[in-house]
Amino acid sequence: MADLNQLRAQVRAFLENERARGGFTPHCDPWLIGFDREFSQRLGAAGLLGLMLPVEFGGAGGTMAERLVVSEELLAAGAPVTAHWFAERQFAPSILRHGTDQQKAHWLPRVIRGEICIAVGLSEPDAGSDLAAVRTKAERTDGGWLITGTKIWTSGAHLADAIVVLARTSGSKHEGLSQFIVELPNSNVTIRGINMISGERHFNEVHFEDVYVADGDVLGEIGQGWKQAMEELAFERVGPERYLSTLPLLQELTSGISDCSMSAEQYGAVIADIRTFRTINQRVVEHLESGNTAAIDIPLLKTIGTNFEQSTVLTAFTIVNDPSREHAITGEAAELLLEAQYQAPSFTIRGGTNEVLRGIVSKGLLR
Amino acid sequence: MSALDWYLTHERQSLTNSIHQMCRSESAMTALQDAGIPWIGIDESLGGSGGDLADAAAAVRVLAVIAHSAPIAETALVAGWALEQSGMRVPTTMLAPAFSLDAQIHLDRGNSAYTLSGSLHNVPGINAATYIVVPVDSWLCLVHKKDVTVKMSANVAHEDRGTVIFDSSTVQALEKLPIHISHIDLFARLAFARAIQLSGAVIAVRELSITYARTREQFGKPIASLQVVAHYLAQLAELALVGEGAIATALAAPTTMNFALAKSVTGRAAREASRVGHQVHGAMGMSEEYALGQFTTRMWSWTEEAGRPEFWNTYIGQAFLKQSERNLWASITDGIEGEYA
Repeated sequence: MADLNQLRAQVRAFLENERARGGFTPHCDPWLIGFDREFSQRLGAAGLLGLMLPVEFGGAGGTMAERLVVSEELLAAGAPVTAHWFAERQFAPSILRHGTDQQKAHWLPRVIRGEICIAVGLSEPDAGSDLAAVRTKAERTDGGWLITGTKIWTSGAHLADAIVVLARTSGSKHEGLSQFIVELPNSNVTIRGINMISGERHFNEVHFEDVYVADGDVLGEIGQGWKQAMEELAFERVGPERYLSTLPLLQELTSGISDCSMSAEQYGAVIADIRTFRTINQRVVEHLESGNTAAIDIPLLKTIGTNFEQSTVLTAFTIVNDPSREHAITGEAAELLLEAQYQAPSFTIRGGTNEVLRGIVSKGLLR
Repeated sequence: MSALDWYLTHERQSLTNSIHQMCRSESAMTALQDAGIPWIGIDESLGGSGGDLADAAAAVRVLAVIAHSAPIAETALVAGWALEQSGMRVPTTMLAPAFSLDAQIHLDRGNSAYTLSGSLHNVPGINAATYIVVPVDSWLCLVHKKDVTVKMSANVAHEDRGTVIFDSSTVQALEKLPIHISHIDLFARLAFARAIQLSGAVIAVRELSITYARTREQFGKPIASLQVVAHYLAQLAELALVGEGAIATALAAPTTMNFALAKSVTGRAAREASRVGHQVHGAMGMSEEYALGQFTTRMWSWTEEAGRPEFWNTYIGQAFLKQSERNLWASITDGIEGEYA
């Protein structure tokens, strides 16, 4: 516990120093729209990445609880963590569990230094919520595989060093899927940007045309791709990014604006709710670390947390549009509010829609 | 097994199993008292049964899960605890906490004893109680029920509540409240007791709804196979999880702020769970013979009494806004100024 407090203080000191030197401006949803390779590398240099990864690769050999402290502090501050987020959150743990020695040596030290940006190629035009309907196929060729197909809604693919592709290696629905690492850029991979409703580009459509992947770049086992991808999603879904997306906005509305603020009642509800979500998240992490599964708690917390995030955008608007306000909201707060509004619909969609998650939960309840 | 099953340690499970057992008998109150359950969590040296806050919470929780109205929470978690904190001996009888923030009660020094005058509505646990515990100014007073007039009433779930009228009623014992405990802290403790009950009741509603949706057939199949009903069940599980998370938060750091949090979160969860639980059950849930109403009517009362969620949200928010340096995130992670004083 003392160690966790010390670690928290260390992260806060790092962030304060960054703010002081103009190292970043806060964003809502900073793990999706805060791309800054240099910031990620400074985090790596400060020893704040790869906390759970083994010491032999440059990691800290620490616990999930430690990683949780670092990620929640980064997200609460709205720090630009997109560049390393997917690599550190799910790619590295997956390489560690399923990768070859060569893959570990090739990727892990660079992920831990904050140098690697990974895109995750799961969704396709005809495989969204029904992810196992993936049609991108990988065909056997000499010493490797040839991948053909299209991925869509791929965050950050245009900036990534590699993309992990879930592709079909045989006809069987779940057992016919495998994962491949494709380094970018690649002349047979076409990446087309998709502008968001905000006008900004975060998503891509990624087209693969006979892309050669050597056997050494298969991630895990052929036929185990579905299982591996689901494990990664479990990691993805458990994080504080599922209830802290709008915290930078609330933080700004609290400290930066004096003439009209949230009501005491609204603040109280936000504090009560986030404290509760943190307890649940911490308990889930402890539960996972002691070797249990939390199959239902993880999707439950994600639906609860993302519904809460959306409600905070409405809360923010009741403040902003309060007729008794003397000054319009400007500057950082206005930017954050716009970001929150543009991002809000996706809170309950990405990483599995709340409907998909409620389906998983109810199956568990009715078992 | 859920990550939030704090009440499922080996000892607590055997405690709650035996409480469950006792409540099956006709003479449940006697059995509970013989086993010392009403004084659980109170120091043995002051007349309590020992155990910690989580043990007492587990006992209160299981009673709520089975909709049993034995007023254990009132004695163990609230009135008995207040006596213990003030260094007073805890009588091994049932106790009613007469805690309210706007009560007009006067303490007078009579010829031979202190007396109380004034009245208080909706005092819980009053029917079974032998003594009433009343905070007045900086004092905590113990009054025998024979020395007051009680007008019995009931909450919406038919649990006993009463108006207590003190008319120069003799104070049997009194002691200064500890410096760190004010009336709002006492009231928050009552709120936390209700929060524990609410969390237990939401879990019961979840379980009843799962069972009902699995067995009730319409359109030739169990209604649980309809996606919208399945999602209602998932929603009930969400509400149960936040309730448990709130209780776990307060048990890990039992501050007045976290008691306030617990009541706010469980109360809001209970409102929604009542609505969704009834929707799953259709007309059946409205029948007095069916169990659902036992839980939802209790939830309505427990949510609105001892400070509604909005009251406690405002309490937390005001404490936050009063700080010399407002930092929302730090107030969430490290506490609000004065919280740990």
